[in-house]
Amino acid sequence: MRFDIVREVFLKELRETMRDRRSLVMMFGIPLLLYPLLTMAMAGAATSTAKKLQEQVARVAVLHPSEAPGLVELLRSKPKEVLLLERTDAESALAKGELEAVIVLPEGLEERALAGASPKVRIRTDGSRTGSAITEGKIGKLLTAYDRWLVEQRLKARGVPISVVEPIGRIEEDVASGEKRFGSRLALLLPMMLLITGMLGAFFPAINVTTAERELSTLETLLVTPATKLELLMGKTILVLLSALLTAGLNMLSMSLVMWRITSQASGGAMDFSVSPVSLLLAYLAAVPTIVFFAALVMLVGLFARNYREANSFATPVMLLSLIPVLISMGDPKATPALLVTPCVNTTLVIRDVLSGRGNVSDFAIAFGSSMVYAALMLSLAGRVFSSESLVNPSWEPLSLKGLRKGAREKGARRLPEVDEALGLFALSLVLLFYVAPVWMKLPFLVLMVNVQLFLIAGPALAAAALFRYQWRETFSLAAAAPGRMIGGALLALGIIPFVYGYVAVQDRFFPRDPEAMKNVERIFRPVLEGPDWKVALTVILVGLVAGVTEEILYRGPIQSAFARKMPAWAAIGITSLLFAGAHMDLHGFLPRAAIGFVLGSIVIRTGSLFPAILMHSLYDTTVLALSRWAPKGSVISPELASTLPPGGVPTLVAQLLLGAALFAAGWWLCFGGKRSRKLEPLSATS
Amino acid sequence: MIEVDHLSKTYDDPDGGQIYAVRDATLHCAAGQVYGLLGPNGAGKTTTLRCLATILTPTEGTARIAGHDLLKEPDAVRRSLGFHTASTGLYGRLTPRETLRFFASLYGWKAARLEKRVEEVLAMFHVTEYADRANDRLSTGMKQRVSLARAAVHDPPVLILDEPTSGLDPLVGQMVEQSVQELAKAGKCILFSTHDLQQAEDLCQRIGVIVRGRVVAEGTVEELCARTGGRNLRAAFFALVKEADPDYGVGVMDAV
Repeated sequence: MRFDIVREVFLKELRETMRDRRSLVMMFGIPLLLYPLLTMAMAGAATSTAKKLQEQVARVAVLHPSEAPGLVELLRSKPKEVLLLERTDAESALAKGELEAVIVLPEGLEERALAGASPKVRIRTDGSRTGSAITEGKIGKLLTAYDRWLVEQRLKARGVPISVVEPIGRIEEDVASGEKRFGSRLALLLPMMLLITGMLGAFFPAINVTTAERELSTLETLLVTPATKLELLMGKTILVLLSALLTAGLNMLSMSLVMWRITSQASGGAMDFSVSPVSLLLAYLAAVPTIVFFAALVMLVGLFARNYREANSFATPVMLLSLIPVLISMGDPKATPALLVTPCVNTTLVIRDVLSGRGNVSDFAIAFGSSMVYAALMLSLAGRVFSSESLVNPSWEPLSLKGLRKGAREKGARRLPEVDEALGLFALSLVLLFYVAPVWMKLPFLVLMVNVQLFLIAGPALAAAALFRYQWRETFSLAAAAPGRMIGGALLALGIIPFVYGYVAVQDRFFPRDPEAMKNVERIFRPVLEGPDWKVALTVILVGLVAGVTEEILYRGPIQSAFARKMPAWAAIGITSLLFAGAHMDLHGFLPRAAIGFVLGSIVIRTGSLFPAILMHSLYDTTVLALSRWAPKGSVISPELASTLPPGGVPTLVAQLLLGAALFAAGWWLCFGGKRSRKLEPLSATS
Repeated sequence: MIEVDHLSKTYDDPDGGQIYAVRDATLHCAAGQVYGLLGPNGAGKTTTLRCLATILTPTEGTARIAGHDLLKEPDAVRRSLGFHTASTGLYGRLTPRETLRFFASLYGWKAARLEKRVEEVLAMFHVTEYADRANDRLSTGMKQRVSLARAAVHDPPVLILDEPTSGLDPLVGQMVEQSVQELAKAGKCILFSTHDLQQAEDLCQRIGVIVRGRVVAEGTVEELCARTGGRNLRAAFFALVKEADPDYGVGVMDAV
């Protein structure tokens, strides 16, 4: 990709956008003018109405006032709260709105109450009128005071002091700081605002760079230049994303300021309702991948539309999607792992937790990482559509179902997976893992493990290969491997273990693991590691084998091979390793898993065969499990991960690391030495 | 300069099967020559030109543009050709000067060389006077000239022009024809599609007639007349279309 071409395309799109008043109004006008004014006006009106109602004196009639002279006296003593009116037509006056409430006293109320009975007072209000709740509140308060007076009289008559019924006093304090309370209020609105305004910001630029190009037939003039489709799309995408992110950011700032002002005013300056800029920044950061997701979605819609009108009507249902977070946040659910990988919802939850001071690094990382995958998926889908020849075919009907008919699909030749399909597979596996696996939690460990690995990890990859007619051999690198390569894979697995354990031990000192999470892992694996030696040995071999085979089938299968066709091998291996490490949802193990993933990916690219990688993966998992039962306590390679030195001291440590290095070097030489077994398919010149 | 070799382009028919938009087309056009591609509506002219411009990928056959293979060196092909159609638009919010600068930069032109070339092309197509007015505010004729200037801004040896005079008044049409002739004189190879048979006769050194996706005849105007016995290109064209597709325009062509 030539960055000067991308820059030229971006600058041209920027110039056009800056001359488009609609985009400018969306980007700057709404957040900077309309929004604060509208919110302030609405809030001002609401506050003044509430204040007016509160200050209004409630007009009340009492039926049979002679039954409770004490109450009548009390009502009369509060002229600012209630105005006692004598009406014979009390009921109709209430219906007409000339009275706010009617208090109906039963016969001999006060007398009976003082004697120890509990007669009932009826308060009649018209619930359909504004402010009826306020009237009820005022009368309720006065009745409570009357109630208390009656109790005092009863006690006095029996010669008992009043403190008898007040064993404790109470002082109520809200422990949430002003910041937390403001944060949780902001959290209700902010996710929706960020996503909606992000989409609005993306809308016009996205339509300009996609639909307008098709509608005005300017797309052809771009496609005949030496600029590749990727360069064109990149320049255009940067503009759309910038516009979306800028609009969302400005709106967030503007909205926070407006809400801060309103909340502070409402509290009468009694509390500091500012929210820390760091929390706001984190909330914004959490939203970035989801804003990118929606911006790319709007671009996709723009690419499908033949004209502006179509784009508008396609975009409306998409806009509604951003309302989902509102529905979710209404239920105020706990941030479960499943919700943390659910697109859009995860962002809502993380923003809420960050703003109300409940956020944690791990949840943030999971939500951010999975949202990045969804954003990348949407961008690569947009890329796929942009690369399609059909885009310059005026009669193209992308939403037509005709092409999906069985016959039309089956006649195509077998092919290799595309990047969007790889990302889709990863996202599918992730969502399945978190939605389906918990349902199986009751199953015995081995059954659960085999089910999960087979159906949720390898299953989607194999199903996609069958459905999309992938070339099996190339996609899954099914070439046989020389025995030397296989031995190399095994040595790499054994050699890397002391380094991983050593690294984790060091990391634990600076970034200790959550003891709860450690206990959970232990609880899951305990049944595997208990029982007679032969049974444990068989189990750990089976677990390692299943994990190795299924995870390699997905990650080093369609995922890595899709990336490898579009970018240099190191980048494809790197991205695949990050996805592989991310899917384990364990921040503490992220780097070691990514490193192991990198070695596994390199083996497959270098040897052209999945089998040495499967062997390395299986052997590594089996050995780690076996070590947690049989390794001597306190050594670097024991799972307690001694933060203290092993019993042998530094020499033992160095010896273990040296042995690991020797095994790793030998494995490396066997796997990577000699001739390359397979050449990667060259990049397609048109992509 | 342009050598089309048994080129075909098919589309998937939504109702099953394949539709041939271009079938086994072969034609040759040399440097300094204007080659006219004639054919009824829907004959496959635009699809052929789009394939040659690398917008569409041919399903069979190939072509060489300025010595570069369409399928193997699409990038070199794009650098060697300028493409213009009557329907291609301009970015409404850019000015002609900005438009030319942008496109020249996509071809790798930079700085002083780019500026010099942009001014040259603006002058060549008589656009200098309104070079800083937004494209949206230009008349159809002005836009067409800017669009042609855009296609030629990187000084390509080959120009593919799809009905460049359609919808223009005779004066602007004349101006476009002059520009085409000047470009051919400067050694460019120009592949030109049109429905205006008189224009084709005046402008083109060679003519290809395409009917139902097939190139049914190729040659100079005289050769086509001699082959069909027609007294002019118009008569020859009707005869060729009728010969290739007897059902096309029944009644109309008999009257001619």
